[in-house]
Amino acid sequence: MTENVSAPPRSKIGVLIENHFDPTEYKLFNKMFPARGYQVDYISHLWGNVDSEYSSNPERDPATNKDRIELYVIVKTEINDVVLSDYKGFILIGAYAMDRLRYEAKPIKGQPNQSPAVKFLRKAMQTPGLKIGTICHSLWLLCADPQLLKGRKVTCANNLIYDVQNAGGDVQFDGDNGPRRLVVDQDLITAKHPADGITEEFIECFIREIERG
Amino acid sequence: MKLKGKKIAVLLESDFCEHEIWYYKFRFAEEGAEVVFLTRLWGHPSLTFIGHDHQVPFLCDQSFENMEDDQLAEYSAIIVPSGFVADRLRYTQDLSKLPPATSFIERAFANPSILKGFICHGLWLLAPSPDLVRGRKVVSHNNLYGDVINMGAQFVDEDVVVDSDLVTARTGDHCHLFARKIIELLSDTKVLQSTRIPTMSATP
Repeated sequence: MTENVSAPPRSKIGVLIENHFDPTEYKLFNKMFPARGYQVDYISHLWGNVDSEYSSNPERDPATNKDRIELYVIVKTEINDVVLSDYKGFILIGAYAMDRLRYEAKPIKGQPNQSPAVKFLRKAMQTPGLKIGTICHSLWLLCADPQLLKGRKVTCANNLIYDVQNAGGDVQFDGDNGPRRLVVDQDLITAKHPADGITEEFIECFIREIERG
Repeated sequence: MKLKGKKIAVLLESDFCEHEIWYYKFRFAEEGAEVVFLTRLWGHPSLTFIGHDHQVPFLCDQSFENMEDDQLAEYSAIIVPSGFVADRLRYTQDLSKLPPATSFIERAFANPSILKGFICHGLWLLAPSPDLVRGRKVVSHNNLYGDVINMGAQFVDEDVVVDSDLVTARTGDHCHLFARKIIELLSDTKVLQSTRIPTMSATP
C-alpha cells in the first residue's frame, strides 16, 4: 500500500473489485470521490501476488457495434491486509466481480463462507459507523453469508432480487418500477443498477452518509 | 448412436462459455441427438449472443416462450449452461410474474420424463422458484454455494451429481463429464426410471 502513504488518514474509500467489473461505475467513482476530497483505493484478493490486473465487463462499442473490454485496472491492495480504520467506507463494485470474490476452494456445510472477501465483510459490517455500499449485482458477496443480509432493507438489480430474498434480505420496491433506486439501512447503502443516473445518486448518498457519521 | 431420435435443448444468452456450448452441439449430435438452442427472443427473429471468454458470436433463433406442452414433451433433456447465461435469462421487467425462462424450466420440472441439467452457474435460473430444488441433491460452481444453500438444496461435493430427473455439474470445465452423464442417463431409460422420484409438482 506504499502508493497511499501520503494520503491523509480517514479520507479514503475502498472499492472491492475483481474481473468483470462495471466500467461505468469505475469511471464515476474515480471522478466523483476525488472531486469531493476522497481517495479511492481498489482492493481485492491477490492470491499471494504483489498485484493483479482485472478487466471490466465487455460492453457494446457503439462505433463498431462489437463488444469490447474498455478498462483494465492493476490492484495492489490485498484485502487480508486492509486496516478498517484507514477507510471511511467500502463499496462493492457491480457487474460480476463480487461473484468471483466469494470463491472458496472447499465450502463446508454449516460453516460460514471463508473467502477472504466475505471474512473481511463480516468484520467490516460489525464496525459501527463504517459504511458499506453495494450496487447492481454486488450484493452477491453478502448472499454468500446470509447472516449479513437477514432482515436488512436493500435494493439491487432485478436479476438479483431472488438471490437476495433467498438469503433473507428485505428488497424494497417502488411500486411497479421494481426495486427502489437507493436504500439506506443504517450503515448499509444499496443502489439498484448503474443506469438512469443512479450511480451518481449512490455516490452522493454514500458521501452524505459518511459525513453524517 | 445412443441418442438417436432424441432432442436436447440448451438455453442460451450472452456470457456463455464458448468451448462448452460447442462441445454440447457436437457431442450430442455425435450420438444422434438433435440439439436445439433456445432463448428469449424479445420479439426479434433472432439474436446474436456473445461468449464470455472470447467474445465469440452465437446466433439463436428459437424461443422457449409460448412453447406448447406437446412440443416441450418432445425434449429428452433441457440444459442450463455455464457462465452468466442463467443470470441474464432470469432478468425480467415484469416482477409480478416469474422470468419467462424460469417459468419454462418450471414446466420442465413438472414433467419427470424430461432430464433437467444445470452446470456451473446454471442453478441461478431456479432462484426465483427455489421450491424446485429444495431438499434435492445438487452441485454447482463453488461461488454459488451460498445461493444454492439459500434455495434449500443439498450441496454434494462431487463434480457431477444425479438426483432422479435432475443432473448437475460443478463448472464449465466439467462439461465433458456432465455430457457423458446425460448421454448415459438418456440412453438407458432404466437408469433414469429407477432413480426417479414419483412426480414433481411445478407449483408449490
